[in-house]
Amino acid sequence: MHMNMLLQNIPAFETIATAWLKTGIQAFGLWVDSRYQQVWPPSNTITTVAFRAPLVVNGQAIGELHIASDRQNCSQERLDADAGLLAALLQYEHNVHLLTDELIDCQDQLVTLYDIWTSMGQHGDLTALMQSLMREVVRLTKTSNAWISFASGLGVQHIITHGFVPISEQMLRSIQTNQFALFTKHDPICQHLDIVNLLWMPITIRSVIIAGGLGICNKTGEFSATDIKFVQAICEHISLQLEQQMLYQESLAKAQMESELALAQRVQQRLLSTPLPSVADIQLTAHAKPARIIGGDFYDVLQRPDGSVAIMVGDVVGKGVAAALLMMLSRTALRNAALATHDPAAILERTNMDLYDDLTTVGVFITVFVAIYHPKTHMLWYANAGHAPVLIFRNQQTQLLEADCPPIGVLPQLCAGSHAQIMNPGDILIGATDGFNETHNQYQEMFGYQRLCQLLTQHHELSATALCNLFFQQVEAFGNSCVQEDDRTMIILKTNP
Amino acid sequence: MNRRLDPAYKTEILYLEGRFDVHSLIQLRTWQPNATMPHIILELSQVNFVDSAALAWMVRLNKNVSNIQGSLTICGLQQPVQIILELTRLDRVLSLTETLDQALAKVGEY
Repeated sequence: MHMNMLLQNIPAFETIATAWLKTGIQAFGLWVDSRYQQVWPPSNTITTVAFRAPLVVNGQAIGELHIASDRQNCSQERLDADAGLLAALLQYEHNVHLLTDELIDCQDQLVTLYDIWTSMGQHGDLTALMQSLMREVVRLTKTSNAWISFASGLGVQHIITHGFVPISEQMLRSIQTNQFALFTKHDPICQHLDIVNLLWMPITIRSVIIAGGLGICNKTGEFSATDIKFVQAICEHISLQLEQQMLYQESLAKAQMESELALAQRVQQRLLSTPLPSVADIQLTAHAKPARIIGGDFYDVLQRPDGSVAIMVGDVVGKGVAAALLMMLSRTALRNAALATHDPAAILERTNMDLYDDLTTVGVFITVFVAIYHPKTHMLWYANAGHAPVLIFRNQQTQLLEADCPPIGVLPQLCAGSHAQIMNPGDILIGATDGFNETHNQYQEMFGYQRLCQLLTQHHELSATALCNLFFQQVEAFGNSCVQEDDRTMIILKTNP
Repeated sequence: MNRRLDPAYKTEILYLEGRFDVHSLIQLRTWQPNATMPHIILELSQVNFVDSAALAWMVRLNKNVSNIQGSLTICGLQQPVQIILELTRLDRVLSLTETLDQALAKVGEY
């Protein structure tokens, strides 16, 4: 390097040499690497050096200026000054070269960044993109090895390497922090791995989630500020790419979830819209309106082998998918129990026995009202496991049928009891869910049990279907400006007047 | 929600207010009973409504504290809350008292 610098500046040496020759010296020489690189005048040779001065650049002597003369008035001080001047010139030249190299590197890096930016969307395969990024990083930072590691769950290969990365998983974990880190040959990790240096740059997503990071090692010389900024910019690009990938995966998952929910909704609606049996002397109607796409409320009506009709309404705590899954489970368990026994309390006990462990594990319960109506005797047997509201209209008044045991899934033994009453012509039984009484208006008032009872008393002459419609309309009008918070389900049995 | 510890009774008292529903349960998500304070008292005198999610949470808590030889006592019920507990017959499952002093006395019996 020094030789090149010297040769490029020969004209400057020649100017100084010419000035010296005019003072009457015999020859002026440039002494480098134990020989004369140049002597002025060129026809002369120097055999005896009268004066000499070292050329010191960057604290290192790179050569000497020699003068051959038999005159004693030649000034050593002047030669030292000239050597100092030439050395300073060489020093500046050297610095300009370094800056130029750095600028060229920087320009290369900028061009690469631009190329990466424009080609981002063209890479379908994220791993291939990461590999091409690392190749560029290694090339432009003049390192030998690189790796990108990602946290799990990002849908990307865990570690992508370029060149041999002599680092174990355990060691990777020890240096992978959320902070930028630079290790030199004096650090134990570099000594252990027999590498010159190592740079680690974390990759974050939305400035919060640590997605992983990029490491490079064995830089020729030291990592410059430009290298660090370049690697940082690359990591920001990777972060953007990952974020796009995550958004794509999220939207894909959302679309898949929506399609599955739509299917679940169809299944649930199909189950709840099974035609109700027609039974002599009574009107039966039911309707469900979930708060979300699918809900946790359910009702069921089935005709038993002995001619009686089982009517069930229930509410699984919670809403959405989890509640809907449990609702399906509960409906099936209740249906099986209702086909096996005619005693409502026994139906509840058996269902509780079937579901208690599962419900306890999940930490939820189900309120259920079960009634068995015997058309021949007009007897209604019912049992209530924590369900409200259940309304009965008889003798020109409405009352709430209170539960006599807690909901299914609370106690291993329910201790439910069955109750009976005759359904006279015009009597009405309504099993609803708490989405009715707990509906709030804009003043945070609840619809409440009292309004439900009043509504039934006032409109008891309506048909079961008309009554059902009225209840839904009134409650929806009450909570008009508010979002429906809970599922609403209602089943009505009315004996013909 | 406010909390108070009563080490003498190995009891943690939770004071809730307003609507005790699925939204207020969010602030209880990180709270868990622990074996050093296995007795829990829920003070609900400022609560005017509980929904089914809150009822389920109380039932779950009741089971959880039994597993650590503790207890759950609910006190200070307003009428609407009392009605909900009676209608669902959870009044038979959960231990209820009128006042906080009665709840502490009940814990003392354990």
